[in-house]
Amino acid sequence: MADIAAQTTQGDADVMAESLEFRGKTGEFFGIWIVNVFLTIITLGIYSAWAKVRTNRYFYGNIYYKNSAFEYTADPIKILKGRLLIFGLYAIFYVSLELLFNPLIAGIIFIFALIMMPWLINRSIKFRLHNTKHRNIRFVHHAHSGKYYLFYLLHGLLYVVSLGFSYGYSLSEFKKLLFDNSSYGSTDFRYNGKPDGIYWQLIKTAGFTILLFIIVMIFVLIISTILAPLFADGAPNVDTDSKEAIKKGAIFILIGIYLAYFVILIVGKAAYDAFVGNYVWESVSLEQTRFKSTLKATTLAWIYGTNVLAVIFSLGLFTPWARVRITRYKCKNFAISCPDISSFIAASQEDTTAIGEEAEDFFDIDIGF
Amino acid sequence: MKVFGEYFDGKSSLAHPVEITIIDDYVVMIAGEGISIKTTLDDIYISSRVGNTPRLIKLQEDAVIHVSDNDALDEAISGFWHISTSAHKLESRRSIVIISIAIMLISVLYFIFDGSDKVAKMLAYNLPSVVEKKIGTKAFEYIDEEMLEPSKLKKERQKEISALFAKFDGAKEYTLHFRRGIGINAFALPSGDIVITDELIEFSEGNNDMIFGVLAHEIGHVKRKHSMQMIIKASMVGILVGYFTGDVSTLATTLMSSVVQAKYSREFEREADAFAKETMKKSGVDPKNLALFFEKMSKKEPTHTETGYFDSHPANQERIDALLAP
Repeated sequence: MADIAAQTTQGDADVMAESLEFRGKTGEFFGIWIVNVFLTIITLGIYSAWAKVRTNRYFYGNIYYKNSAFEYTADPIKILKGRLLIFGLYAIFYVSLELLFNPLIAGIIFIFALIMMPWLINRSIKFRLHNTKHRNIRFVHHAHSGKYYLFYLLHGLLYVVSLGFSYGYSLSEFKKLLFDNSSYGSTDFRYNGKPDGIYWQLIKTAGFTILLFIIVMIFVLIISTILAPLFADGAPNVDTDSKEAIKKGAIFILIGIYLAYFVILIVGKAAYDAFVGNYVWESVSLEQTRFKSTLKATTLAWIYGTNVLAVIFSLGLFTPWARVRITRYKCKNFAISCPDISSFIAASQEDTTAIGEEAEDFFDIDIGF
Repeated sequence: MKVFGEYFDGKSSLAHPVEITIIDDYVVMIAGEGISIKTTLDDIYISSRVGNTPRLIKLQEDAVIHVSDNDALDEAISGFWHISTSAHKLESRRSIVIISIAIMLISVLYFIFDGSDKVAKMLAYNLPSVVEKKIGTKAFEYIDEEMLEPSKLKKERQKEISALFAKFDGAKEYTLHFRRGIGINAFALPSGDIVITDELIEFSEGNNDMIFGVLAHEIGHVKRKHSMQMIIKASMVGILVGYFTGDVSTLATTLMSSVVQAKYSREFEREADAFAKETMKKSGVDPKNLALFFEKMSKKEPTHTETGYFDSHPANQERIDALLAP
């Protein structure tokens, strides 16, 4: 059977790239989301595992490639178990440190968590890939935890020694670890990116962010110089009134700086996602299949920024709209060229536990894939 | 009823268009080019509906049929198949969605304004005393180091007030500390550490019954577990925010600050006043002395901001009246 896959993928290299299609609708997802929030509240968080599964099923099931939707197959019970375990550990940590002032127990838990971290990250990647299917073929991650321990030990050390400058190299090596140990069915992914490529993308990210920072700062400065005198109405002489005016102007500038900080965070993330993300996907292959990510830093920054504002000012009610909107944009800008979608072969593999995935969820470690 | 779908055998990614016919509970026919399967509803699994995403009919050995036409499938299996479509029914009905929003907002508001008080009260009364002791001791050490100065009161006067304090029921559970530096003030911590300032003692102008009343009031706060309730409430909000946002770093800081910035509610003040009144009566001290203290406090210059902990003690007529009532 494996030969068939090898033979049929020997097609022409220049296959038309086709974008992912997202068929989700805000109104439809709003219903799912609000019921999730509601049931999660009244079950004191227990339903959150089911909520997560339904949300992921909705998004995966609405992403189509060549008219076939992706599938999310995780079992909510597994997610709940993982969630409870992590929550329990955290509760013991919190109570022993903050309420009982017992740093010994807290320290033991902290060290335990630190030691378990590479294992958890590995398991969470395995879990996530294992539970993703396309055309009834599972994705697989088959790296042993040992590789992750080695990675974090080595690159952690390197990071400290090089004062952080090894970040690009480590990122490149991590993507290699991730992709070279993953496959779609029995077909292996390959990462062909180079560290210098990543460094170049990081420089572009920094440049773009700094440029926008300067623009925003100039904007804030102009606005404050225009608006600050308005606070000083009728106070031409240096007296208590103008002191008050200066104070108000200073407050205004302070608000401007916070605003700039917010803008920078979002622009930085958008630039990183666009530059680094595009490069990484361009460097990935799946036998004859190639990927093309065409995210634009400016568009992404605009979507991220307006999404955050919409969610905040709607007290969260615009969350479904924001999620559908960003997913639609990302899908539209992700193309795959695959000579023959019908000839991939499944792999066999063991089940994974949800502990890792939940650990990641709770502590919010960002593992970009 | 016929439903169309795409059959995947689970071994390769090749799709086979098939036609599914459900005849009754026991006969389900699946037919397509080179495929002819006869099965029963007991041997297959149909996934629940999520929005309009394709449904999966799981057959034996990893084989799956993707069905895009959700309505046709629902109609075909209605009457035969009792799968849980309840979540989808909730999610797709407008009225239920609107009710969800309303209930959600109401429950959040209820929790913020009332429910959290009840939960905090229940927890505070059931917490092991070791926890109270530890929190109180830590908080006292912190406040003592950061804000308080040693008392300059004469030793005789300190002894006199300590003797006064010893008159309380179970006075051994409490430790009285003399300090200065935070204005006219007195406060009590869950550990039983009670602080009284030189300024307050001077302010009483030798009226020991007044000091007795103030101390009784503070012991009332401890007895009714007021500060514990507030600590629990503060950490509950922290935990909730942490749970939903995934950020748990703010949690640790809320605790200490809530002890230090404790401001009691009117409800708590009323309870502490009632306790003080009863204790004073039992010890043969006229409760009017405490009322006198509140009156005296309210007559002080309103611009005086050094009163610190008493900011949250609105010395209003209502409280004075309650103390004077027989």
